[in-house]
Amino acid sequence: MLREAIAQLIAKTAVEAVSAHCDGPCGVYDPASARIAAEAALSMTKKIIDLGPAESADHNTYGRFVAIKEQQAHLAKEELLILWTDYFKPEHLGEYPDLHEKFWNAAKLCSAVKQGVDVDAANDLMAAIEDIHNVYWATKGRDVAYYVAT
Amino acid sequence: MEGELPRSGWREMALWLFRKRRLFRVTGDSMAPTLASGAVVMLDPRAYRSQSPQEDEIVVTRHPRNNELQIVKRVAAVIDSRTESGAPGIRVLLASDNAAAGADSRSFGPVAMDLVLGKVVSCLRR
Repeated sequence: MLREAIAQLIAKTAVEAVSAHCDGPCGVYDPASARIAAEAALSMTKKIIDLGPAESADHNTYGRFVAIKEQQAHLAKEELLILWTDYFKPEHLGEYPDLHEKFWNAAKLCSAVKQGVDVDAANDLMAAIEDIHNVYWATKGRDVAYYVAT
Repeated sequence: MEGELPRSGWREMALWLFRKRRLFRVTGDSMAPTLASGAVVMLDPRAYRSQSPQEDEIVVTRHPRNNELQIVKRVAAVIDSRTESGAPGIRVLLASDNAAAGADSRSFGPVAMDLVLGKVVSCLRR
């Protein structure tokens, strides 16, 4: 009994973790994948607006633009959720207590970009991803400049 | 083949007190049922200084493709390929006890001994 009690006390001091995880822990994460998808969704949003009213636009082109915008917005959300749930750990919350809020808002913006033709939401999403980019690279102790493709 | 890991006795705890053992907390289920997620194990960092790992031993190694990640696995096979100069070149093939889960040597190949941090000798908590 005493031995077991002491064993449990010692066990509580274990701070180093070893992974026996179920996924292939490649450990490669980069907010850039979410940024590229979000940037594509922003671009498609602008292109849809440039086409003018749906009634007068070419239906095939209009349909394609909408489909790509929705697909890319959804991809951005997936990439964000992977980063949020697989990379970030409870210990990161100490330094970034609003981490969950950041990802939640960014994911909501992905939905807004997907559902509507909303340049403001698409720009807000880009800003949210830039914010996440800064947090992510700070946790890695690296100074990685944010950039966009267009 | 999957040997049980003994519970840490007084001797192990004394060795830990004298810094001859390192503690690790297991996360994930790839070593179940031997080690459940949340198990705490004792590692002997000096175990392989004078001898090679043996099959069925449990080791902690750094992940071959991600230096920051430490993983716990069972030695499935030991590959002893002497180099031309005669220096021993020992590598281990690692496997998960719960083969359905966990990445192991099937995906990352044999692991060189310099990545192996030591042998898991007992567990404080299963």
